[in-house]
Amino acid sequence: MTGRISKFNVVSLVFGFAFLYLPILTLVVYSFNASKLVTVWAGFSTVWYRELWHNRGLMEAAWVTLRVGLLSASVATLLGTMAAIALSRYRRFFGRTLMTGMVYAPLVMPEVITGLSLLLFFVAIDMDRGFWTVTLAHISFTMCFVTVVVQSRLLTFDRSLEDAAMDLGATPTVTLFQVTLPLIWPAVAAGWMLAFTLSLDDLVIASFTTGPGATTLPMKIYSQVRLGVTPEINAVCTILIAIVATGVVVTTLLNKRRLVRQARDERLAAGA
Amino acid sequence: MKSLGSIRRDFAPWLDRGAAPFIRFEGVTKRFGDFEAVDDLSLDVFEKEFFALLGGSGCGKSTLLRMLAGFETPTKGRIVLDGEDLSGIPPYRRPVNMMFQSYALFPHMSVEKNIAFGLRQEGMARSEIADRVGQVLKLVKLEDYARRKPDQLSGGQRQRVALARSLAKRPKVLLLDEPLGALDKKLREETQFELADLQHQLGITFIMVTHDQEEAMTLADRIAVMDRGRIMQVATPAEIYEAPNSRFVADFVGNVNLFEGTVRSVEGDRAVIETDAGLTIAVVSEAKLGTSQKVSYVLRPEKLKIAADPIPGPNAMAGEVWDIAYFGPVTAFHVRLDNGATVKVSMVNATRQGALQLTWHDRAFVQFDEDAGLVLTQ
Amino acid sequence: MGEPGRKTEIGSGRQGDAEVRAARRPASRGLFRPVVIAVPYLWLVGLFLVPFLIVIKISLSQTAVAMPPYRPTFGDPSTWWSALQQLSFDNYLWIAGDELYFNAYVLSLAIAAASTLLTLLIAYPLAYGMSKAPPAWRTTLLMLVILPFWTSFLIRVYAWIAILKPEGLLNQLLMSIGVIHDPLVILNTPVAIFIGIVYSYLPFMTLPIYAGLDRMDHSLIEAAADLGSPPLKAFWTITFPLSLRGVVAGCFLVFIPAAGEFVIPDLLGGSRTLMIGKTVWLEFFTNRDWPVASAVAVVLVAILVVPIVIFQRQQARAG
Repeated sequence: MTGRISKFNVVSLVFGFAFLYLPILTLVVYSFNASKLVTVWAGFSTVWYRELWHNRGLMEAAWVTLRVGLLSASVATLLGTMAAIALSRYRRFFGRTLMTGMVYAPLVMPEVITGLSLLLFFVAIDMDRGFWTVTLAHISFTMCFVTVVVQSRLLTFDRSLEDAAMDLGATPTVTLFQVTLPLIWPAVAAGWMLAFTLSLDDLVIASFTTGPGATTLPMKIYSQVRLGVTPEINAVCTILIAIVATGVVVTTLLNKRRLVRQARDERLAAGA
Repeated sequence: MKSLGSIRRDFAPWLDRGAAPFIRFEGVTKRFGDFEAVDDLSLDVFEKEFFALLGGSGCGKSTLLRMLAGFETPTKGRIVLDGEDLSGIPPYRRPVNMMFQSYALFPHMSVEKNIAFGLRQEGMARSEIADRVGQVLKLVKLEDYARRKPDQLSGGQRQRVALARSLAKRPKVLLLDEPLGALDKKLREETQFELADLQHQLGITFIMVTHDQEEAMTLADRIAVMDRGRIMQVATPAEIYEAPNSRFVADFVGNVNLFEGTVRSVEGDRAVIETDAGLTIAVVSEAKLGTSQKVSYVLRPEKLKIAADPIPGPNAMAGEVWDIAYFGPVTAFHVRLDNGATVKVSMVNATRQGALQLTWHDRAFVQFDEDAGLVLTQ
Repeated sequence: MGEPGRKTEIGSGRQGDAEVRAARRPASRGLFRPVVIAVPYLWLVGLFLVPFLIVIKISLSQTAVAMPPYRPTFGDPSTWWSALQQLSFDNYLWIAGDELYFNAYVLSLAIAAASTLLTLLIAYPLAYGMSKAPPAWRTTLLMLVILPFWTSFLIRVYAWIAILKPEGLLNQLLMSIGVIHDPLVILNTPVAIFIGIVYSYLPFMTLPIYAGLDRMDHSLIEAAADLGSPPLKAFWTITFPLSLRGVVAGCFLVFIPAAGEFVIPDLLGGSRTLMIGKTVWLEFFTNRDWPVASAVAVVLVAILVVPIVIFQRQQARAG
């Protein structure tokens, strides 16, 4: 590789990233528009952010979403990690194939169907719909994503480390808690973040499974968007984008710092 | 057959009919699906022995080791250690420890935590753990590295930590899976001696798996050469090299000239063999030979002499230098004999210039004594 | 190594008494393994499998003006037999007999297939450009591709409304530079759906292709060049075939969810482009016809099972 990059490649990169980012960028820019009309620029203003603060409906929806997200992501991480361990460490148990199918199917199942089936289930067992049904639904569909993330890490995991622990007298359970989990926690954390983001993002499943008093932010945004584009929604979206972007960038930088430290350690070792 | 010496003088429990073996593999078979990794294998290893399992990849040597450690369960047969049947005992309750090929050092624990790991599982008192960790660190000369993490160590240091960790529990048997495989050549040679010293000092039974014959020869009291799940020969390194029991072992260990032939005449322990390539070889054989018997003749290249002039003595032959490879301490020649057969000859470069000025396509003469090679009747 | 004085301490030491006892103890059958398997298992059965079986059951029921709005219900065990006899395939016959549903299925699959192809056309050069970029940039470029994936789907779709609508930014731009004089009608047409799907699913296509290209040994291209293959030919004969696995994975990852997509056709496609995801939604929320909504959903799953199974086979083989 020459380190130089051909014109064709530059063009495809520029075009690709412009396509990915320009829409988001316009949304952010117009959230600072003084005009009520979203497409006419009338000068810089933060008026919509102040409005937002006083919009009780939106703030309440945001609070519901955050609670659902934190709770469902945590439970989903626990369940998803257990499922990943079961599938990657226990070769044989009754119904293993069924379990694999149940983990992978929700990943590609259209959201309308997952939402519909969960709602019909909650109706059938006569459970009052609201905060808890949304949370249960989110746990169910996000835990499968956690399983996939953790499982792929477990499959690349150096099994001789677990063998070594057992060889040194650690029972399988001790091995899991003292060797395996401490080493795969970045994947578990990534699984949590994915589950949390999916929960924050979800409109369809929440719409099906929610009940009175449990309107989530995406549902609120959706109902307003259907009435037309408003700068206030732009402002909400900008805040959400800022939160997520900060999270992703910080994680990436931390990872990079870890890699740099690792490289330095290896140089040190080579010199030792 | 006269017994060829073991590495350690006066240590040969396998010759003592009264000695009880420390580890017994009794008719052990291991199948993975259709693949038979280990095939009805029986083997005895004695206490304090340094034993090597030698073979190519897929010969079943690692499976055998992993069965002893408890990571695999034999499909058939049983393994007995110090009088106790190991069947059904999980790896974490077996009094053996393993040094892994990859070292398998826990990357999130410091050197001392790694070494203390096995002791903590026993519920040993903190102060006692600290003492023991100190001892083994001293043993492998890594006292100053106790607080480092594995990725802050060099390859050689990691290898010593892995060794220290597996020794810390004072196992009845230490299992070593390609213990020097990840080290570079120079370090490997140094470490070989350290490892041998350590084993003599500690008096623990060592079982090592390796594909490197040199490593097996230098370290082990006895070697088992394995192929396709079976043991081909169990013997001391010298016996394996000088008296292989089969063409496979002869060919696998070291460099060799192998001739197929027929016995033409027998007179006491002397015989004449005519090889399929048309050479007539006079031999002295320990094995009983009969006329017209089909045999193989094994001749190590260093047992032949080579010169630019005819050499007196039995089995003198002439030919042309076909190929020369200079290795430093020795030079290897391929000589194409006048009747078309090719022999490998290696010569020690005793002088600096190499008094022998043989070069490609020169006329060369080779000769070997009647007891230089080995007749295999199998 | 070590000094002779240590010899007795370490060398002659045998396993401690505790360990000898431990070695004789049979392997404990802890509670851990059953719990780790059973808890997620039961959860998935209870909140994925059972709900789906309920959908199938309701798809065989009749609409009723009641709550829940279908019959029969399996409340009282003594009426189960008569309830069972009321189940029928009427809803499926209804779906089969109505062109509206058939068209919605065909349209969904066609839109999903076409937008998968479009996504590939944009994602491949992007992934290729990334794999050829200087190594120092690659982490950043990769992060830039993943970043939109983490931001809300809804927000990203919403952003396009302001761009595509008649008085939107795209039309403003095009009219101000004089390319067009009358605003283009894009919003509420299939074109807007294509744009929405391509935009939303671009990372799903780019990442597997990039992963494949990044793994590829660059010396293969050098070998091809060395053997006399010009760059473009080397690309088609070496690079592209080797990246096919990523391409296929990406296509499935876009096609399967796109076929059942609801948000994008609803917000960008308008009321006239009726895809199947939206049909389920309408049957359920607007018509309150739960049995037909369920039947439509079951048929959609039946259609998608084929590509899903192929995809999983392919992944299993590759993994």
